Amino acid sequence: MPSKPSKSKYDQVFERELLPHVNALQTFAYHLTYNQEDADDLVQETYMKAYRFIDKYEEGTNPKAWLFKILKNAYINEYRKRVKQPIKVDYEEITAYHDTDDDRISGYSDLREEIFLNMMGDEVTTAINSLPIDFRTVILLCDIEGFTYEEIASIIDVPIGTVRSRLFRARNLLKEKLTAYAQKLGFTDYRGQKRALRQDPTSGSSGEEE
Amino acid sequence: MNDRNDKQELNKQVGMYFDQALDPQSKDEFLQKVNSDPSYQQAYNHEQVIRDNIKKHIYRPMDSTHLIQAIKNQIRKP
Repeated sequence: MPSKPSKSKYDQVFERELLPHVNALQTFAYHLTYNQEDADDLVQETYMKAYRFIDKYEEGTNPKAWLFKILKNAYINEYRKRVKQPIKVDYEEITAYHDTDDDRISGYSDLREEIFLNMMGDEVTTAINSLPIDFRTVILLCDIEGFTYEEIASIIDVPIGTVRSRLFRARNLLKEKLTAYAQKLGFTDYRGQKRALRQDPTSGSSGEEE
Repeated sequence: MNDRNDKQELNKQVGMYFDQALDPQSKDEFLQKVNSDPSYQQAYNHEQVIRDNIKKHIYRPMDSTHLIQAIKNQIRKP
């Protein structure tokens, strides 16, 4: 019969396998809560729960996915209640969005590289933060943290087809928002006329500043 | 019509590659195409640039020193 690991063994596992993911969790939490202090509280709560249930964690498996799942649940179960903030629902999005399984795969093939040339730093953050929570979550988990569809499905408790479906819609929304930002800067997409995205000479904008 | 389907298939393959959704054999075949087919290479490079830029431009809180200490203090509480 295997002996139960000592408390110090759990502490070692905690520090070696779980704590290194604190920055990734902070980023995820920040984009869920929009607030650094709340994000730090959420991450701390996540680690407290992980420590409390560390005997359920199988050493060397997937600590990052396990922590993200705990954080997501903590956010849903506690943070939303604590801040007493109603979930914002964009009904226009909802009417076009059903949680159906499908196998559509979307990348960023129709987004222009030039869009990023004049970004000052917070446009991607603003665009991602403006997505509905379910879409924001899959973009953060897939495109920012590099989780696989299977891992994301496990973290957010939905079928893999739903992960694909949400990613497909989330990326399309993100592309729209980034393209709209680029257009504000004076870029016009001429691809329909078989010409590359370029600055609109009639816009009066140099493209280097708003 | 075939061109359009080919392009859709190419974009799907690129998206799946970067999403780590290709099985090992499909991944090898895809990378071989990237090395031999300019349209695959172009699509691959484009997707990589966009994804790198999204990762690069998103806000990431960097200072976790205090948070790590707070977590350690919390778990050491009797």
